[in-house]
Amino acid sequence: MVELTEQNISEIEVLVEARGVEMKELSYDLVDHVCCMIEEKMESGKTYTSALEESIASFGKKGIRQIQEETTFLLTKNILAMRKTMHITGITSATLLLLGSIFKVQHWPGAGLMYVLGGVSLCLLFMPLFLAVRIKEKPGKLSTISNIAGILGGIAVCLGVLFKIMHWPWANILMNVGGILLIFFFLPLYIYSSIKTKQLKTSTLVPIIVAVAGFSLLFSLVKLRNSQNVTDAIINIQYTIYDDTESALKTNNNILTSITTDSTNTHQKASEIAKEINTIANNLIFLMAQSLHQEIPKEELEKTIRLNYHSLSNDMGDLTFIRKDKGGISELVTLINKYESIYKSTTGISANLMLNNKNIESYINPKNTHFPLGIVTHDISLLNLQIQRLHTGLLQYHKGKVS
Amino acid sequence: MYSKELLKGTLKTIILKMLSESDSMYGYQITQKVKEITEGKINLTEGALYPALHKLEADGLLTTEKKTVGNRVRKYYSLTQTGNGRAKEKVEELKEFMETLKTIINLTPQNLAWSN
Repeated sequence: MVELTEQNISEIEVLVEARGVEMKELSYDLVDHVCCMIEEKMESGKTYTSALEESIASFGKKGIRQIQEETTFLLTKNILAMRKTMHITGITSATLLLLGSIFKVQHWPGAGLMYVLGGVSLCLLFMPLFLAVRIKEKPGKLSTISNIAGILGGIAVCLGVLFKIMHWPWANILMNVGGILLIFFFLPLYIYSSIKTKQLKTSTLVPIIVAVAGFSLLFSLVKLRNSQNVTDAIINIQYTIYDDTESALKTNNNILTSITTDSTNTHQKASEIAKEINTIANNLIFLMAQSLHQEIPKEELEKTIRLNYHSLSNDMGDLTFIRKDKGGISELVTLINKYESIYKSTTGISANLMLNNKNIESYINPKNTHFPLGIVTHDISLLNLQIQRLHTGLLQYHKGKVS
Repeated sequence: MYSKELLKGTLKTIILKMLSESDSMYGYQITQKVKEITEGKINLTEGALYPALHKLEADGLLTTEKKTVGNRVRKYYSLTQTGNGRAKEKVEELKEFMETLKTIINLTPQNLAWSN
């Protein structure tokens, strides 16, 4: 009775797998089958080498690979229709997303609709179908759990990105949940099952490396748009504006109390308007921040804006928050115009404020719904600072005239 | 040796019948046994046998058991309870089919004329 050595058998295993047999269960069958053929040939007097050659050759050039193809075909025949639907929805959603991004870049209408349709069909049709196909193709408790974690994570990340593009709430939460599912549940399960079935080789390792590296880079790209130095510098500009405004308000108060009342009282009227502008401007800045951070309580958010501004997200804030009849952006602009005309009629000098700034226009225009929080905050606070500075000048002018 | 076409429709039945005659068999054993019984007239190829075995296993008609034989893993296939029932059905079906085929094969011009 001829018996093959362990070395012979591992050589045969390598030969079978090199011919494209990836299914472990099939590979057991075929390795044993080849071994039996070789043993039979050796018993009739052939050497191991020639027996091996003959046996492998008897399968034909692509024979071994074809056995696996035929097996997969038989095993997946009944889910052929499901796979077809999966392919069609996959191609449709990918096309829609691609078209959507082209339309978005070109500023053509309809980009949003394409994103929504593409994203929804990707997340709610393609991915669940993919999950169903995976479960049918590869049954088993462990791979089912890992498939569910992977697909749910994928759906959450994709929906998160879609929500982010559409400026809908919950985008960050969706992306974070998806990321956590993928990195901490799917990936360990995937690696574990690869090790368990002894398939941890290049074809498994490369996707893992690409996925981890790609996700990390993408994550940093989303989270850290600017370098820390640039971010700090930008935030410092904002703090300087607040500091200057506060000191201007203090100065104005001091001058106001030192002025002995005169008959015209224009400076008091102007002071009232300046104060109201300050109140509304601060409130608008608060409302804008609130549109992105509804989870932070009111008092804490007020403190955060003033002292911990960098912890606020710099995403697109919702402009509808500052469009109110009373105390909204339009009223702010009206008040500023009113102040300007008082200033001009009193001092005879034009104030030349930045009210014709395109940004301010788009805050009022109902066509625009979103704008980066940092820019809106900056524009409104700068306008306020200019008014308070002008007012210092106006008050000093008055003081000089009276005394 | 019969053509692939002829074997195709009966392969599953042959496998089920072979397994119903013994407790369990491995792939190579099935091919050898069939060859022996048919005196080499029916030669199950690996390319047809293993896909069919895996399909039957996925359908729940067969189960496998792995044993280490001669330094390697050998998979023994055996019928499940459903597989046992199906084997009988399939064999009966094939018998009937062969009877029916006979009437066609034995058809002569006289028969045709008579039935017309």
